[in-house]
Amino acid sequence: MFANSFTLCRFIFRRDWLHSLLWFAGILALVVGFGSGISAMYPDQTSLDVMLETLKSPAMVAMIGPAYTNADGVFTLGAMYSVYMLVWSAIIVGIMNVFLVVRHTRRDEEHGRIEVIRSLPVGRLSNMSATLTAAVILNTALALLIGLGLGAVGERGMDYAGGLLFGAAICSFGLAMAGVTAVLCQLNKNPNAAMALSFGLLTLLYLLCAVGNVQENEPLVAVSLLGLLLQAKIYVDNNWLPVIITLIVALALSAVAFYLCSIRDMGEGLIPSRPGRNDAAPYLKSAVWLAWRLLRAPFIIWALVVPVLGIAYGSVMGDLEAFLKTNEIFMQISGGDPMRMASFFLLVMSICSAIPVLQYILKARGQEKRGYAENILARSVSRHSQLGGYYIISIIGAVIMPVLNAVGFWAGSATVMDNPVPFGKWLLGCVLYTPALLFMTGIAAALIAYLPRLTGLAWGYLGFSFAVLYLGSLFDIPEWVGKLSPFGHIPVLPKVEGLGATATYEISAGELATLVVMTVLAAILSVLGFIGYRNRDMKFD
Amino acid sequence: MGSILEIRNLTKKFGQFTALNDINLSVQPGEVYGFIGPNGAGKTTTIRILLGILKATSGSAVIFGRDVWKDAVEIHKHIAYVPGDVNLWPNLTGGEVIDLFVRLRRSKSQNRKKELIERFDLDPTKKCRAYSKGNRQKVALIAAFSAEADLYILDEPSSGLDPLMEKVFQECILELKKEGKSVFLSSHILQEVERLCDKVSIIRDGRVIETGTMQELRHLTRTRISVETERPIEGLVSNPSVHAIRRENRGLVFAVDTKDLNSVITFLTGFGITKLECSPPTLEDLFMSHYQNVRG
Repeated sequence: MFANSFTLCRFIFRRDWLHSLLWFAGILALVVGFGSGISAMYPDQTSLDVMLETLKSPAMVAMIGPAYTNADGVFTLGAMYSVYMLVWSAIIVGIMNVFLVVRHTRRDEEHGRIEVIRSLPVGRLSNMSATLTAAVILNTALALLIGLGLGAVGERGMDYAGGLLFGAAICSFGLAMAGVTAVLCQLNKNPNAAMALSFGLLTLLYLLCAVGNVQENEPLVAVSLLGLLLQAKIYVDNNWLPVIITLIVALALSAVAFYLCSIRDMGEGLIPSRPGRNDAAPYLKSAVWLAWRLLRAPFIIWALVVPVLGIAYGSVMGDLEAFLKTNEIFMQISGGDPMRMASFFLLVMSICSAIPVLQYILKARGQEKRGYAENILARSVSRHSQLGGYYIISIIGAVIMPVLNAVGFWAGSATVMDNPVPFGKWLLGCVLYTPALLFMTGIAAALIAYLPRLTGLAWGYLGFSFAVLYLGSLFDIPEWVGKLSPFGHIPVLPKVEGLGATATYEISAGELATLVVMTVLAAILSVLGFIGYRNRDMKFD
Repeated sequence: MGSILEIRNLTKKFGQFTALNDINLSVQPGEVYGFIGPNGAGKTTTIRILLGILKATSGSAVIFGRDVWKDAVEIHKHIAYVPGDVNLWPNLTGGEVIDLFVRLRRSKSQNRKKELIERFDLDPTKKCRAYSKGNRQKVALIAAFSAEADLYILDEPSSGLDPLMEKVFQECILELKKEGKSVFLSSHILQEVERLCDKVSIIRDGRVIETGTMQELRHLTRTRISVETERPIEGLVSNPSVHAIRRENRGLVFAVDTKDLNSVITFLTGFGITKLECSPPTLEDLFMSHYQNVRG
């Protein structure tokens, strides 16, 4: 059953070394990089104590989890680092593992590569065991590198023991995600479905962690795994039990995946595929409608995910309201601008909304790369309508997603706040991000036209935006770095006075001009994109 | 009426690499035109330029009197195309794809779809993810033959088809020929080209090395002769029009320049022929001789 797994595993590394190297470099830069800078940003205990007050806010508890102090009630630098970095680092490592497992199981199976492998003297489960072995090796190596890196940086009280536990914690979560993905890959023959299910589950775990921590609901926190790992209290108690539990979960999931893989036929899923349509639906008659047909499923999924994210974050607003009434220190450090915390939610939600917006437009390049677009362009379809379909859906996403953010956030917050903020005000706060989303579409269109092989840069730009604006809110990243992202130019719920129904805000002429300029730039990039796409060769893989 | 398709001095470079070097050819109305050459010779690049998917570096390519790059959309209303490598959306069914392709040409004739699906024996309700290469090829062929086009551009259309389907495909082409349609057929299956095409161009390393009707090209080639005689044949080696002699069973096999066929046969009768086989040159022979010439 497992013959030659080791050889296949080595083959995975040969195929993937550059890929893995880039992931490792990115994760290490983020995790160890911030580990090395944190001491300078919080030079003394006073600055940490001030930060602790901010982190006690339910908004921050939802976003990253609860802060903890040592036995003497002191909030150490290590505790600050670990609570701030743990959840999101674990999510990033989780994403890495989802890609790894889907690529080497379902994707290879769909492309018929497994068939070739299986014709050789290898076992029925060899490919699965090779993939999971590769995941174990990668995650172990990453955990060690993170531990050694953080230990070597050695900021105040951040020792090797804590560093290694931090590495082990986020990588054990990575392995659990590898296990989950391996199970989900057995259900359906479509690798994209397996990928979507895995990311859906990852989102769910994050939301369970957020809601569980705010409501101090132990079962929710434990089920989310992310919340469980926070209880390792790294750099303070260094409790390994959550890591061990997570590894057991990963092991159990892998066993399930092996079993399911052993009882199904190659190339098939456990859920049999049904016969599809005999004829095309009447609307499917142009390139634009084909784009909609292809993006329909992801569009609907995101239209559901985005408001759920809003509801989850919105449900924190009640606790935030109560917290603000009792916590004077926080009122002081937030400069009498209590809505800043809510606007942080809006920022994170808006950056998440950019994922579908980019996905929709970049589908145009995917279609070209895989040769599907050739079928279309060989018929009576212009380049403009070929790109236009994906472009229009991306623009619709950029307009609709902020509205859905507002609906979700309003629904979540209105039910829990004593003094709910009216829908219109959340709507304004969210819709302000539309120009930034349009700008991302414009960037992607220009990349498709002029750098078609480097459209991944659009994702990098979004990741950069998230990193600088999310981390930048706590770390002293210079303001101009944040301004490199379109999201850094959006007025942050401007001129807020009071909380609840009395909150008022207005946009200054300067801010309005910024939004207009950004929209105009988005339009210019789009026009350049369409011109460039019209005048270049199609590029295949 | 002028040519349906006219390529003049067409050159295409990808960076430093010259994929097509000064190509010329023209397809007349009602002609089935073969375009043959080994893998990587530039067949698909030529076709992609004809479809406005790639832009020519220099030279001109014109279909129905219009520029293939500028007027692509207009031209494509009257063209049907089958790609060499049929990539279809894994989550659409074959039936959906055929309908989409027919509608994208803005032609309304749907009646042929059902008939062709039966002839090619395709299950249109399966998702393209589940189709084999041959079945994806069938989807593209059905979509192309359902179209009422004036020019059919087919890039190695029968690769992946089984012999039965290959036959159905050839019948479809011969039907088009009867209806007076023009076909531009790239292939490396030589019997197919031989059977279907009126005129042929041979492309190698981005250059067209030979163009002509099947009749004209045969003149350039050799006839394969297998002979057995009563007495051993002597003096054949010194004949300059005889090539590649080898002993087989009790006789000899060799190739002879077709123009010198008469003198060689006369020479052979002197040794008392007991068995003589003459096979017409296949495109294979023709192709191999050019292949070697260009290489050498």
